[in-house]
Amino acid sequence: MAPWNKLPKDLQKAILTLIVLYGSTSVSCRLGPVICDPPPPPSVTPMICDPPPPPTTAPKPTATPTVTPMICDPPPPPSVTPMICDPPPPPPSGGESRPDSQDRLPLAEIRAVDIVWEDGLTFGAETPWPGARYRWSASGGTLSASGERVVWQPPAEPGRYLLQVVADWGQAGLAVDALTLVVEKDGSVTIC
Amino acid sequence: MLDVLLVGAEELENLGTRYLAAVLRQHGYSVELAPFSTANDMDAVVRQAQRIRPRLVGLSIIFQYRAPEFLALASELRRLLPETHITAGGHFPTFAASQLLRDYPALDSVVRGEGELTLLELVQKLDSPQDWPTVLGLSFRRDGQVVENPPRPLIADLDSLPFPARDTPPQHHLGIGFSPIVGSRGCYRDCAFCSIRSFYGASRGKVQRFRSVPNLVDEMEMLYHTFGVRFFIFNDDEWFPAGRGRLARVTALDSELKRRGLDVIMSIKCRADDVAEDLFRRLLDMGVVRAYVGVESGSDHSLQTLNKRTTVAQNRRALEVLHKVGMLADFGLIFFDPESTVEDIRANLDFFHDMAGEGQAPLSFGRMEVYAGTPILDRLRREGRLTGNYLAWNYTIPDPRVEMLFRLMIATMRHRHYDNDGLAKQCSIAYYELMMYRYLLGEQADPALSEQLRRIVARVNNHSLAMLEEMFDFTLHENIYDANRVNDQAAAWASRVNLFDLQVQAKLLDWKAQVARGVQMET
Repeated sequence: MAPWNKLPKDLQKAILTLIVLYGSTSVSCRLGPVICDPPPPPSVTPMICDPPPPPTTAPKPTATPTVTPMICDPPPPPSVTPMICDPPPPPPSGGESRPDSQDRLPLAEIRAVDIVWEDGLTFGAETPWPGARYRWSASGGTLSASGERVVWQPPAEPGRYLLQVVADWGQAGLAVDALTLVVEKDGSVTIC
Repeated sequence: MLDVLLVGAEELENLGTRYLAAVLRQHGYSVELAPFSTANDMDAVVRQAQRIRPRLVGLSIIFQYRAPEFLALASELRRLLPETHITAGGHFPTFAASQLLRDYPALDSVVRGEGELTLLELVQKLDSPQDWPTVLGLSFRRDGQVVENPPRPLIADLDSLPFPARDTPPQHHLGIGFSPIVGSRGCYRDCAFCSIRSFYGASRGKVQRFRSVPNLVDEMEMLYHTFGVRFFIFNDDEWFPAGRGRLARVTALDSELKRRGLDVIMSIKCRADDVAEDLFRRLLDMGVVRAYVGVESGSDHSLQTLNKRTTVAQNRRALEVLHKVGMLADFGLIFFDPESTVEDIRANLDFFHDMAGEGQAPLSFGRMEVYAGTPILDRLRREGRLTGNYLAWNYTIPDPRVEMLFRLMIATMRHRHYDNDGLAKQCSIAYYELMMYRYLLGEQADPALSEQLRRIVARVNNHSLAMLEEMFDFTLHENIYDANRVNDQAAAWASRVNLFDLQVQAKLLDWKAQVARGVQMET
């Protein structure tokens, strides 16, 4: 399979559209971490927000001979507390701040990391915050990781496997993302 | 050239933009809708705007957290369409009109409060800015200064509004059409975290208003026959009127639906003190299969902070009544608020165990966020406790153990509970599927499928509760200032959550396949 940057722009766009429409987590951050800033914490304000709607139907996935961002599940429903893309930096005026008496507590900022499919069975960790230490793990198969990039060697046994990355910034924060990888009987792999 | 392009989130049909479009079209203006559900839709919206070159673009900003995306869109539209008037409306712009016009030159005006009549008048006077000071409810910029016109009185008679413009057909699942609808506007209470009261209360008129039952059922009947809608999702701020008006409204709706032979199912939102057994038995009989009850907390102390004007005893009783009558009793907890204590957390955990431990509904919980226009924002500002800015206020919880629990929860359970494809959201969707399945199959519905789903949801709920309990215990007994220890522990918890979800997702997919097969065989 051709490296991502060698793919025609139209194909790149089509794949990204697929990911946007049916992708799993933090779609917008996957597409451009530069537009994503520290996410807000989730909230529950049920009386103002709408309930999650019934599901919508999604095209059935088809078996794929190679690794492609095919989707096993229906497209995501709307969210009442979306956590996907987040406020940009504060505007030039109108701010307030005060010294935080709990500055010493770890996980000081809410941060995010996203696993992005790069090519073949190579995945990367994307985050707008520099300086993370990455820890990759998988529930099956083997991994060869180097910092923010990992290559997964799937197991022979068909099934659903988890690929996970932990991005650790020490005192400043920690974020986790995971992907489900499905190994079919014919050995092909689908990313959920 | 088109007159107006209305931009808003399109998760379910956006009724806000559809009401605006209907009123504008009623007066002869041409309108298109543009979906802007995530930042990734920006290019499509820009292309649509460039194609139709509208005289006015209206940005419907419902949720504050998305304001930055809408403001970025406004800047791009301003650059490409310098002649187009760009306005914004909705809860957040209403309360932040002067700051937005001060800080974002891409915006020409803000429509405050209920938008239908203000936007119409703005469009009518678009080419005569000298008349803008007469447009009630409008804020705009003149000579570099922000002008805030007096508020427009509320629309007293909601029946005077046309039905929302259903430009896109309602969605279908398992062959059933489902659609959002509103029968009222406003709420009769004044919760500290909610902006509904302030949104309508700034204008003259009764805050909570109802469409007449015949008018409401006219729209339901149209959707039923034209689009095959059978599942109506009521998005009213508060479905019931206060006091004795509840029974009268339910009785009238019941009669009207029966008279017209509309066999439908419905989902509503209400307060815990709306719930009474007789009333909800009747609602179930007439097709209300789900009620989202705004219980908000399992702690009386927190309910006071939130000014909910209910008690935990009332909350428990409300959910128990719904369980007893057999209606899906959905609810969420504001697990953390600016005054949360260790005792409040304990009470919330107990409440969850009792009310969702058997899978009665998927767990939903989070922190109280500080939104524009809410009483809690004013209070925290007075107390000097806010950080951030008007686009995204923040605060810390005074007790560091509780603050730490909140941070751990976000770091470890975010995907399960807050992502669109997270397991908790999938469980919630599965309950909707179950309601549709039961509607379709009636007495032929396999009760084993209900039981299977309940067990799956119970597993997920109890796993989340066990994780929360562990984290809570950690914050109470470990050194929460040791970043290495905290991060290692958080990573381990997150792994457990993700591995658990991997297994349960597979079971949920099996369950969905069984439901689909059941429906296919029946139909």
